[in-house]
Amino acid sequence: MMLKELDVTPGGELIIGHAALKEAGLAGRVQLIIQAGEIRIVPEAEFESDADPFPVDKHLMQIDREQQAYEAQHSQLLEEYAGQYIAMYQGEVVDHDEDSGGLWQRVRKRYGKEPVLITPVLQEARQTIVVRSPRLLENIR
Amino acid sequence: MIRPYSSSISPPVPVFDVVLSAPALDDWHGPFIAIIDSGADFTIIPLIVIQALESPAIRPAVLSSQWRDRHAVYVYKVDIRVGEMVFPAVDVAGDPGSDEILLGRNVLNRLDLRLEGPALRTHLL
Repeated sequence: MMLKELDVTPGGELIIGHAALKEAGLAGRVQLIIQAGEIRIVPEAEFESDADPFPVDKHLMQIDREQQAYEAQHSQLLEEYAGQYIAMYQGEVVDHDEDSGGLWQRVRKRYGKEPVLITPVLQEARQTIVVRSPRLLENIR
Repeated sequence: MIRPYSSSISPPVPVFDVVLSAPALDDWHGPFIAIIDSGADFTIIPLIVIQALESPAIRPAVLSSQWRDRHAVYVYKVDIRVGEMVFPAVDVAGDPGSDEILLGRNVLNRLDLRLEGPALRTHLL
């Protein structure tokens, strides 16, 4: 489906025009769902139905917010905690340790099931996990 | 413990049976077959399994290969049991696109293993 009137302004705003929304069947009242780096636009009636088509994971949303706070402070935290793990809760470092397991135990005891970001403080603000194991597809049975 | 290689992949691949739980809940699921993958930085578990465990996410991360393709994932805490050994609160990546468990170096580097290739079996020493 081709979307019309989709534009990014010089100021960095994404604009979806009425024609594009109408073509997608979203000309009425809508809800925006922001989750895991994506923005979804759904009809309000659909959003309010019993069967929520896009269930929102509040835990992941809070982890994302903590990650944003971590990235905003990354250069400063790198100077202070390089090579350690930190725990971030509501945008603030609440604990740190060289051992991820020990830090986790203390965080769990203090915050229970509350979402707390636990991350190694590395040169990159978001950790990259590399898997160097290519598979030869013709050999999969 | 001695475990035969799996022939589900050709050439056969070393595997272990693992049992998983959300941290400290002692609610074990499995056993699951996990591929021993020293090329993986981290242990990687299908997201559907992690959701069944109800393990907590602790940070977003990026999953990449040697060709530098990038996939957004979350890292979770999971208790992992291999044989009689329990590794509590291990960081694992949740993979939404795979049904395989890869036992990566964050676990393998805590095990004493011998790969007996000609006999197609792995020894956990």
